[in-house]
Amino acid sequence: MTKSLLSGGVIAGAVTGLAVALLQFFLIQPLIVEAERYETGELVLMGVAQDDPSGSSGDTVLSAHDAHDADDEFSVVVRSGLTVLTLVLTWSGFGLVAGASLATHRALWGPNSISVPALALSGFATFALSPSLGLPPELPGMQAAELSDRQMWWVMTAAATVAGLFLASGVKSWLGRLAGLALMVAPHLLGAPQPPASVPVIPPDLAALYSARALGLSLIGWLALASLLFRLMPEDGREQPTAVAEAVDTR
Amino acid sequence: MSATTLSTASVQHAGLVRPILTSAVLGAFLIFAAGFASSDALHAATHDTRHATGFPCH
Repeated sequence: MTKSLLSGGVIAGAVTGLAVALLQFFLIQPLIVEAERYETGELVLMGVAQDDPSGSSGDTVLSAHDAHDADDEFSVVVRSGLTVLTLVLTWSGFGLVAGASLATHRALWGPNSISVPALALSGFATFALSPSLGLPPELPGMQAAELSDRQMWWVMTAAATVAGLFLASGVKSWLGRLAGLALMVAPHLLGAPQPPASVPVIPPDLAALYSARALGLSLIGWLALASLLFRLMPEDGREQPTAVAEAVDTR
Repeated sequence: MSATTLSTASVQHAGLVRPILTSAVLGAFLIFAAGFASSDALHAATHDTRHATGFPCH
């Protein structure tokens, strides 16, 4: 059973990661590359007096990115290959966590207690929508608060969202739903770490387009991942080991 | 029904704890490595993925 659950999550996640990578190259990558041209100063935002990059306001972000400017040494092929690989790994991680959540939900509240759209929207809310309400998807060069603070808030928000969703969907009482809602809202009441006030480097319309596309791509990914997971882990729990074993045998 | 099929719900649920925990921990590890680990090499390799997925980067 351990092997079956693991292989189901990894297969569903890896296939989703490949599909997301394909779309990423059309929808996201061109915007990242354009943002990097603003970040490096190759392009300058019209009508905005630029801060000295060595000034205090954006110092944290810009200096942190300097280390990454070895990026130029990466060829496009290597960079793209690494992006495909890491997207597959990331979505495999999402697949394993979502598979574990699906199995837990069914074990606690019945084999038909959760649907494909419910799992997809839960994953999307946990790993994309809720964190992005406080920390919108970032383009290179965007001003941001201290990295460790943002990472901590991101993880706390994702954890509170998934716990809240479990409570709200599983415990069929007003108390359960209220407690779930409170958990989901709490990180937002606390507030995400905000960047220091500074002059923008990236055009706002580029950032807006990027945010919309990143969230849209994530939603597509979660719909695909949930659909694949349900195919590999059918609702009738008794069929789980057989169905997933068959999926593995066909590899 | 195959020989590997578990016959009762209670046995299924008892046997689910370990695979569920294993799957969740492995998944969290992959997400951490791809989205949060701070080593320069990992950051360079995962840069575009972190931006595209909405993880904090830089």
